[in-house]
Amino acid sequence: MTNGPLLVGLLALAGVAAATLLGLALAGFARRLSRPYLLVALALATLLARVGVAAAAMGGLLSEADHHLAEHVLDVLMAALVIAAVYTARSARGTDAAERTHEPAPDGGRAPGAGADATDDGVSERD
Amino acid sequence: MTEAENATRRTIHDRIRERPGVHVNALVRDLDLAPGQVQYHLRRLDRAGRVVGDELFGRTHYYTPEFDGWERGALALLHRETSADIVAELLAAGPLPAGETAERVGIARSTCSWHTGRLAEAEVVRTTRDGNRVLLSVAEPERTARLLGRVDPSLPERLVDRFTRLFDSMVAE
Repeated sequence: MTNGPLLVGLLALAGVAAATLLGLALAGFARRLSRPYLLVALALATLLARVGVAAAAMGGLLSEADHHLAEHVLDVLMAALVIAAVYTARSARGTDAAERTHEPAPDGGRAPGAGADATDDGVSERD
Repeated sequence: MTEAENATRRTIHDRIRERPGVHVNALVRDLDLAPGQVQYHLRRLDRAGRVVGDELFGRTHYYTPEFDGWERGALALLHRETSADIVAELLAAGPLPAGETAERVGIARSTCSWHTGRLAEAEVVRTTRDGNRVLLSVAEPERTARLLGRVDPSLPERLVDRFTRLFDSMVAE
């Protein structure tokens, strides 16, 4: 392969970047322990998996056809996970508010149907 | 104790004095030492009463003994950039309603709520009722301001904080 060294360099770079992003997402999940954070971490894990698949193909462990298929399956998976993360971000907060006594609402009254209560879910548990 | 051991222990102690509330991973990373080595020296320093380890928010933070329990909890939280931003805003303009605090700091309400929840648990932030609004203020402004000057979050800490900020603001209302 003529562009071998370039490809190896790019893959290494992609691996470091994807691992860093995944690390951040996992740290975010460890903090919040919420479904949207888990989903976004899984979405970023597919980015790292893509690097793994490419490396496996380069090492001759995967045929070109399988490599191609795997990359596109990972694309679909990533898109689906991001959509699910965005979707559950809304419903996770809906559940959050329903479980608590005070519905968090901006004091400017930007949320329709929200009262003037300026509390928030983190604090309202204690007052 | 050998000379080298002595020097390593002093380096660790100095680092904890410089960055009160630092945790083991950060010490390992910043000082480029082996985790076992750091653990060993921390145990010795702890036994000699030169550092205090406090298990807070799922990890052990280390301090020099000059800080009391409340200060240790406050420092551990102020290491989070966004928590520090919220506290700085409340020091400057508090008491403020939660929504306005989030707006002034420039973060999503969910981010603000998560941080103020932890800060209130550690009694750094106080919540008071004003009619049907909840106002946030700093419980001990002078002590907190002094502690705020002592924190300097590491790059990974800043990045995790900014990642959650970005994600929350992307999916926020």
